[in-house]
Amino acid sequence: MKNLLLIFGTLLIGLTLNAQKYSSKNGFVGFYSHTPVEDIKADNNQVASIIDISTGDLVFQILIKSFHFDKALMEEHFNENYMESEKYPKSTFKGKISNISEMNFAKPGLYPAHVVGEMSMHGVTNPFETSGFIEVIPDGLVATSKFIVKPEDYGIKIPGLVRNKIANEIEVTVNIKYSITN
Amino acid sequence: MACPTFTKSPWFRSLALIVFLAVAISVFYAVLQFNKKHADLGSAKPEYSLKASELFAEFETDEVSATSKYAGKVLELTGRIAQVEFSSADSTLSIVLKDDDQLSGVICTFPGKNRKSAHDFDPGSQIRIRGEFSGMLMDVLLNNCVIVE
Repeated sequence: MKNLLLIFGTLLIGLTLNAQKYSSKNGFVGFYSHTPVEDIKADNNQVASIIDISTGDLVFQILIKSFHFDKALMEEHFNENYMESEKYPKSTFKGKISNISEMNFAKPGLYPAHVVGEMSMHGVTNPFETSGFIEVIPDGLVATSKFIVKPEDYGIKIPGLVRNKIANEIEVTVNIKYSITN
Repeated sequence: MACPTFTKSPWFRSLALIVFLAVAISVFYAVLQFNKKHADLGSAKPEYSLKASELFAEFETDEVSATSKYAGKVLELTGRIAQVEFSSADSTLSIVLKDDDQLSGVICTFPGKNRKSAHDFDPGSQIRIRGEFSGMLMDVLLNNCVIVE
């Protein structure tokens, strides 16, 4: 009987360890464009993301319309002229944290992460690779990263008239707090 | 240098004044538009007023047609507060409206100026929120929200 309990116990622990998914529905992704003429900043606090720590699978989903600008007109131009958010409402990333095996999710701490996958926006999908950090905290995970995206790589055309106001390289900041999902 | 005589004509002067005013007004208007802030939803009239659970049910039935129905619209929702959360980066407030038996619901996000403390909200209580429809991921998302009551 004791042995049976032990076997069940081990199985149960094994199962919970195998199916460890962390998710967030209010993650942050912001971007920043700097030129001598103008600095443009937008925030999105409605980012959905899932990490499966047993496989390293990582998924992001972002609504373009959820980006918030200080200036209403900029938000309108961003949605209508550049991102065409009616036609392409979502941006996604699907990939893996390639070095997930080096992280110890039982031990709180900051672990460097390497991410490889595919990013889609504005109807264009490109291979994507970046680095960041996964912080293991008592009640979940915090993922952070900073990288550069070029609008032209995703077929986003910026007219000559505002060319000097929008940078060729947009700095993207990611900060997501995940909690465990059952 | 003497001015040409036609500049002294009253016709010319009034024309010059009109042109000057037109340019000044357009520049003023352009600057105003450029710096325009988001509409204050506290005083905006909602285009749809319904229960959060009804809104979510419409998306469960047909996401595509519901998305086009509500695109760019201001909605006023009543619902049950299931969760109150702050994003880790800049502690933006999000309130999740859903019933106990639902996996997903409606997430209403509040920009900084409309932020209140988490103590102002009791999970389980009813709330009325106005916000701009953004779209749907796992949940229906509303942005730039304000509390109505």
